[in-house]
Amino acid sequence: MKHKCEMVWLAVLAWLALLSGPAFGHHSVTAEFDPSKEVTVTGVLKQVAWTNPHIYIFVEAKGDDGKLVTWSFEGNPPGLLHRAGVTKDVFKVGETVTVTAMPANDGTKNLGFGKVYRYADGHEIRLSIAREQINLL
Amino acid sequence: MKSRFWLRISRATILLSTALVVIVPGVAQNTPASKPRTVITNDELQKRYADLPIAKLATPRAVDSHPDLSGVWLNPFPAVAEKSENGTISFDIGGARTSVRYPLPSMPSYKPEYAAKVKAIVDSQIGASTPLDPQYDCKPMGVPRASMNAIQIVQTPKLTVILYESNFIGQTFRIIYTDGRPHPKDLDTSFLGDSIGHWEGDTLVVDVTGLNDETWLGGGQGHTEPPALGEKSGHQIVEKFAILHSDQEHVVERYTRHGNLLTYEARVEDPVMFTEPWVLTPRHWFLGGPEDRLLESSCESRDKSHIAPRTP
Repeated sequence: MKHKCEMVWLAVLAWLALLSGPAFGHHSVTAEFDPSKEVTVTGVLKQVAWTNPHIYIFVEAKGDDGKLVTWSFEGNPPGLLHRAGVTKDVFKVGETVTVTAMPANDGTKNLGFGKVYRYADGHEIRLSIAREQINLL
Repeated sequence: MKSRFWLRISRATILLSTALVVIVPGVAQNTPASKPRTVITNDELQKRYADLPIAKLATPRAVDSHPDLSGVWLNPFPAVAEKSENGTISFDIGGARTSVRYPLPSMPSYKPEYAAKVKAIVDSQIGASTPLDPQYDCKPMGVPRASMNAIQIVQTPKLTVILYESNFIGQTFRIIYTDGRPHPKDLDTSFLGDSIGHWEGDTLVVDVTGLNDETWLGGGQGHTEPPALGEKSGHQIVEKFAILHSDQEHVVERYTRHGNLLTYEARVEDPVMFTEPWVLTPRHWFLGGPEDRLLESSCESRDKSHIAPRTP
């Protein structure tokens, strides 16, 4: 039985090794956000901060109490987005948008990493952090 | 019965896990699962850069016959954005596992008291980040940490200017005087120090001193190296334990252009913290095209406050 237990542990360890790749690039999203959770917010896109180290999109939405609150959604670095062809203007200030985001690790309210921005006409901007591994060291 | 049930579960777990461990990477990486990963040495890796076709091109010369390093130099990132007909944009940070395992980059050798401080910083990281990292205050990155992203070099016979694009540092430049002057005697320490350069053959050798101790050397974030020969996309260098340095840091950098490949080598001395000089794993840039330009590197310290462990 001891042998079997060891094999189970090996399998578990192999799984963990598979799941925990090194952080990609400049900054690990998991340092700030929880990929296992999701929050969805609908509101008006008020501002795009095209700043380093990460862009921030500000969306004004109604809170549970009916009052307007401003959500901050972090994104990827602006240079990375720009060189891939995603420019600041595609986020369209003034439009109503539904954002699917990862909430903050520390429970900071109205903050997330914006994964999908869905606009009224159905088109989306999807920002990926999923494929974080690149030619692993 | 109970133990037999658990044995079955265990067997199933092992089989399932093993199958998934073998199959999932194969699917995700689009490479045969059975292919073993090749470990290559640093010498082999450097050779794969030297063997790139762009490194075999002619190296342009400046008016003073030295190699002309001028240009925008990029470390191309594999990020892509796919656009569909309805206007949907899917940005993917890109990258994939390959069958090659890269050598770990070289790390500084710290004296025990500083090694313990560095280890404490590394241990405190959350997802390879820590709010202790000065980059989250948008401070200039220091040397050699600044040399991790796109740069532009403007070379003249008496001085060479390096302009930096970065995720963190804000607008930064260095002036490297090549007119034979020494370092100033009244030097105040600063984030990027004082740089004087001279040519050794076709290599621009830069001596950097007067650096303050407020920057980190490398840090756990890592940076992307452009693809060497045989690579589809670049690979990451994570100088995880290259963190602290004193204001006695002294760097000798070597910039060498072969065709459209620029190689950066550096040797970092720190008599206060190191037991011996740290010789970096070389970094590389590819020459950008005529349409490439540096992007503004404004930086706002928004992230620092939420680098935090997960709360239940």
